Amino acid sequence: MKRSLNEVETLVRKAAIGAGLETECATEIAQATCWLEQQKLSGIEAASWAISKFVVPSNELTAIDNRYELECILSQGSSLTDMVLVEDRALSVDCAEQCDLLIGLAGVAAQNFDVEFKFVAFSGSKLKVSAYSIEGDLSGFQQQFELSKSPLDAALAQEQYFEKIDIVPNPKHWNLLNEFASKTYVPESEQSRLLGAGAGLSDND
Amino acid sequence: MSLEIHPEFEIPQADLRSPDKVMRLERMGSFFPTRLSFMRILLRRLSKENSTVETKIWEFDHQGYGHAVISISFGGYVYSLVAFTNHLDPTERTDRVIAQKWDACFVLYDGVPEKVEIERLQKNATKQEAGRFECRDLILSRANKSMRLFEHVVDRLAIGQQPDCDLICRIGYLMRTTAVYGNGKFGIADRNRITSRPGFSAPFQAEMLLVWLIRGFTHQLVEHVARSKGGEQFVPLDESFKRFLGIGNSTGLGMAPFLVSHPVLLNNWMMVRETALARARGVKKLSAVQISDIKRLSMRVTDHLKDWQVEDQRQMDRVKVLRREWASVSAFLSDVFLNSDYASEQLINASAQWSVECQELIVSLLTEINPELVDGLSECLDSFGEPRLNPTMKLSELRTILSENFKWGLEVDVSSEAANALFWYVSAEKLEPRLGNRYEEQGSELEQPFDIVKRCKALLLDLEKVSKHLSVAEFLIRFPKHRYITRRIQVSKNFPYSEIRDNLIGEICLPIDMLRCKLSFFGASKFDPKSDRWTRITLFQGAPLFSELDQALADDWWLPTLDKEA
Repeated sequence: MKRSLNEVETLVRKAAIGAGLETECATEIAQATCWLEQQKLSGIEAASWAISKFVVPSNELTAIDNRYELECILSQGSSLTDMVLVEDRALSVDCAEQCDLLIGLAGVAAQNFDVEFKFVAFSGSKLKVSAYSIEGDLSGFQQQFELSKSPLDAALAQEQYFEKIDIVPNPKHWNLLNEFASKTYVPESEQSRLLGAGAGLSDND
Repeated sequence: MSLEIHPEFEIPQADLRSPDKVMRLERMGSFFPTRLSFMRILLRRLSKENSTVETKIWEFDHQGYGHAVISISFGGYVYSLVAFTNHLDPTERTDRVIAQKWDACFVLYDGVPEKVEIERLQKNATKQEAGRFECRDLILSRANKSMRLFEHVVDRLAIGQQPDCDLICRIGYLMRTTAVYGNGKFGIADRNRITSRPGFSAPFQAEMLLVWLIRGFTHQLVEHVARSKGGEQFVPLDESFKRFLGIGNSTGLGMAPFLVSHPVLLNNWMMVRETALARARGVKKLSAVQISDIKRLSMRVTDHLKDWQVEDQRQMDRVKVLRREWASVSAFLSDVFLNSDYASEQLINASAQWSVECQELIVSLLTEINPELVDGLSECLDSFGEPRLNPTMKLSELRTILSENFKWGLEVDVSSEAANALFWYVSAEKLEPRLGNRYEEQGSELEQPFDIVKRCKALLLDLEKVSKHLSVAEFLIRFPKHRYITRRIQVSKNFPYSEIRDNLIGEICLPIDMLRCKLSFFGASKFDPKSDRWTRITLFQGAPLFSELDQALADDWWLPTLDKEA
């Protein structure tokens, strides 16, 4: 079944919150998911996998000898992206998980700050992530890589946009996200029902 | 190509009112529609383009059950209202979001639907939230009849008489919508499919277009049923009645969270409104046309307030105060006063003696008489989304913004029960936003992040534990729970009207104020609160009919009244 981008973003955000993620991180993960889907990459699959593995409380992002240990994309991915934006040098990253969502987080950040991100794996594979595009080899970024940013011409970035695409999620991933999202809903109570819009009136007036 | 700005084209304007004054719930809950409301923007655009409306399909039985396709050309595209009506047992008629059947269901379709598409829409639109939609389906809605007015109008027209003027005036619509869905809900088109199209850059234009088409549809439907019933005795509904009949709407808490979750958009709406006022206040001499307009519109306000009758005691008391005060305002508007220098500025200064609702009515009036100065601001209402958190900001700057822009919140004593009384949540039933009492209801652990004041205070405490020279990025590694409020505080730096400056979980928070604020931007009037958390309103009352878009008066329907003499 086809899903709109807004449905994807809303569901992933709710699911991430349902899994216990902080609100703003959840928003960024949802945006990263949509960014990946618009690149025809498996953002929903990556998000559902990461959300299903998420454990609360999560550890904070740590750096040992200038090497960042990325244990959990969901809770630490935003912070790692932050640090790339702050630092003027490339960061060394040891990534314990699939890094697809990190690529999405970089893409969203690129849209906001007129920069492009460069992933360089120790194997030599390179990946360039800008606001609306991705270039390079996606394989080889699961373990160790260097991550840096460079400025991009703002006018050039604004001229770009995504092609319109159909998003057809795997029902298994979609249902899993729905399960987590449902943890954010409060069961209906008689009191709330009595106070809702339309309550207390005959609508045959 | 460079753009030169000539000093003679600069628009003089007074200072903007401060966010501390404007962004209070009491004031936001006193707003009236303006010429920058979304309905007005849409109708101006339709009128400017001389858009044409054409009924492509009209297949209804004598009781008015069937379907229609009504198309409109707009901005180089064609859009269609696809409408389905059916019999609804009175026991099933409810405006609640939990309803599963409605008198009528609607889709705004991108283009003109073929038969197979109409069949698809019939299967899905009549199920509303339980249906699935495609990207050519732009907006989804449903409506119930006002039984007392619809049947009355049918009965009267069928015997060759016009309906009762007082009843028309009191109710003001033949149908009321109970939901209008856009932006990707249930598979319909994401908003970005249409925002770059001519006429759809301002907020909620597609939604407004659908509702305006529904309103015209209800006029045609009531005449169809009356004609079937009355045969040769039938007379069409008087045009002045049609013009006065808008579309009703029941609006609940679903609207309120939007203002909190879209701070940049809220800022832009408010900034446009305040800039319009500042420009109006900057006018040194009112023109003869403006003086004539302000007097004419002031009399219209008097009539409008006379017609505004509601059962809600709080609102009715306010309307009564407003009626008294408007008599004073009208007395103020003498020729001598209006010909004096900076009469608009003087009127705003004088308005401090009257209620907040009266002050805001004057704001709308002054906006109304300055089309040349304010209409262009409609291009500034939209936003390009909410900015991502800026990790490079130093904590010293974050702290300065927090203490300056959130001073109102830092002064709240969050330790009291009263300051924490409410919690906002999403109900498992139809996933609608709700508001609960923290001390009486279950579920506060799942509350939405509307506890802005508490979050500001908690952030301040943790900011005191670290060096002010750290970056936001470094701080959030250690304190990730503050990411959400940190971004909001950063947003307020460049978007001063982005936050409602009241405690949204406090005992005295009235959600109805948030609803009225948002609905006034839509262009709604005749607010008819049914509790502190839902209201009925009327949309497009007084708006031009399908056949009137080419007329010069197509933009003169602010706070409409029914011409009872006509």
